[in-house]
Amino acid sequence: MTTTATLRAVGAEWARFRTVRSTWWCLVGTGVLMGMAALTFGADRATGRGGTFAATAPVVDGAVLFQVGIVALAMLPVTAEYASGGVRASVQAVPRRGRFLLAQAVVVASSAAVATVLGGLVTAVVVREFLRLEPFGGPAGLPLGPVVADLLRLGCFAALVALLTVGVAVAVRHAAGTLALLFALLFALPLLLASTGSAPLVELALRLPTGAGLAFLGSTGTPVGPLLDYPPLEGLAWLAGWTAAALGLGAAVFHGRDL
Amino acid sequence: MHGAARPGRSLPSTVVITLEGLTKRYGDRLAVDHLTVTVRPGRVTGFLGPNGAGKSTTMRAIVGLDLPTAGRALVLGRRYRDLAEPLRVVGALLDARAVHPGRSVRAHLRSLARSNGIPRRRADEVVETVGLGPVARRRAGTLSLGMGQRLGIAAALLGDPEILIFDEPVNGLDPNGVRWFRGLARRMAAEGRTVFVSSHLMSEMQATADHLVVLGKGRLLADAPLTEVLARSPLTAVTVRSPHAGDLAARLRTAGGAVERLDECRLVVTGLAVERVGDVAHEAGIRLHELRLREASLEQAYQELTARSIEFGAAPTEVA
Repeated sequence: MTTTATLRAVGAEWARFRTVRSTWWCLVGTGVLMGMAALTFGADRATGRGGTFAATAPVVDGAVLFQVGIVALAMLPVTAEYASGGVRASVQAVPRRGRFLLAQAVVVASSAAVATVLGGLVTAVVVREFLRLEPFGGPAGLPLGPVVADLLRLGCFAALVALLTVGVAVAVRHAAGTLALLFALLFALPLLLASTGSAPLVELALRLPTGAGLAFLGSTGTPVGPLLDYPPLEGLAWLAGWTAAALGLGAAVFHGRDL
Repeated sequence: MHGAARPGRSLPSTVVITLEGLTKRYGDRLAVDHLTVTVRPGRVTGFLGPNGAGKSTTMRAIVGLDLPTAGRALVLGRRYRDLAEPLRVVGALLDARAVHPGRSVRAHLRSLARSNGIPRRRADEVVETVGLGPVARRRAGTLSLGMGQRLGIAAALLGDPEILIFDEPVNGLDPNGVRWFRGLARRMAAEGRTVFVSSHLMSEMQATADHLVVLGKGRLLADAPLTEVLARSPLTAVTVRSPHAGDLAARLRTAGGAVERLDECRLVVTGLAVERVGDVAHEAGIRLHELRLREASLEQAYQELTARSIEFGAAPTEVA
């Protein structure tokens, strides 16, 4: 019974997710960001270092940028429902707050993961073809093992960033506030901490979600790449930890909230 | 389950909405203050009160959107959130604008249907019921106020529920729409459903409701049949014309009525039912040339009731 109810809640959330244009615009925007970042990082790798690399490697480097698209994609299903009051109709239909939040998290995270894996694959192919042009000389290939591993990690990364966003959005409710908070967490705070030069603060900066995500993805092509000298699994643990904290905060606030 | 008799129809219970000491505090403001009310099936229960009296808060608490500070609200003896398919039990229009403006009418209703295992065709059906068929593909943000209201009513009807809750349902409806809604509410009650409606439009309420629950400052002011609320009003009066008005006035006062003598032969009596005035005259052998009931409108009765509550709250005055 509860499984049925949860599956139905997920179905309803999916129906809501795909029936507004903003979802599709966010996907397009994320794709454009991903492509632009990957071409840039790909060209950089091709001209800078020599040698060959998997065409997914520059896609992975681009995560530092296209995560913004994932944030937007994951934020709007939550904040737009609050802005319009639609959340009241939705919660009337699914009055168990935990179930409602779970459905939202499942839909947003899986959509972000699937879209990122598919987009990453297409982008990798485009990057490989692009780098066959002069003056790059075709250094990028599509070796099965590394490509699959990169794509799976990208999917996992996208799901976690989406969940982090859902947690913050549920707690904050407003789009502007959510964006400001996530911008601070993903970009401003690490820069600020790193610029202090204090060793423990720099270490912390590298373990905030963006650094943790890049470490987990094994990204080496961004300026922070060389600094991320801790194991990928530690990166995953940090990112998952931040996500769990955000979701826990969102859930706690949501449970006691009058809608 | 669908297609068969609605769940709850067979329940022996005659009470479907139960508020037990429901209390809701927002900061230091007490929105609902120990409200204990039962709402019964088979009739339209009107929910009245000035702005800020706590009507919407009460309705939101019934469907689990607002969490009570104390007390509880139950539907069919259970908490709303414990209902497996809540839309099949309670349909509520609380805020018609509560729809993502970018989602189409049909997509909105289908997503709600899906969450409660209601077939898609039922969503298309209620779109027709409320007269939104021609705009089913339009985005909700492009609907007029009245059409938005109809969309909210469609969502309430979606699960063919036993209990219907409408907060200010005729807001924005045109006269035809108001009449349509009145017919809908009456029909739903006649089918044995529970219909709980709030409104500021007293004339509309007088035409729609069988029973009234009146709130003032979060407290219960009245919970009585419409006819009783009207009869109890001091503005409901009996006009009598008699050649022996003086004699009759004395006897009516003895019987407990308040009598005002308009002229040589006309009296206005309050506090006595029209039958009682006739009986008093008959027992005394006094001839009557006219015996007429002047019933207060709900508007008047309501004004009087809420004014008294405000007075009572401010400084208790003598009670007639």
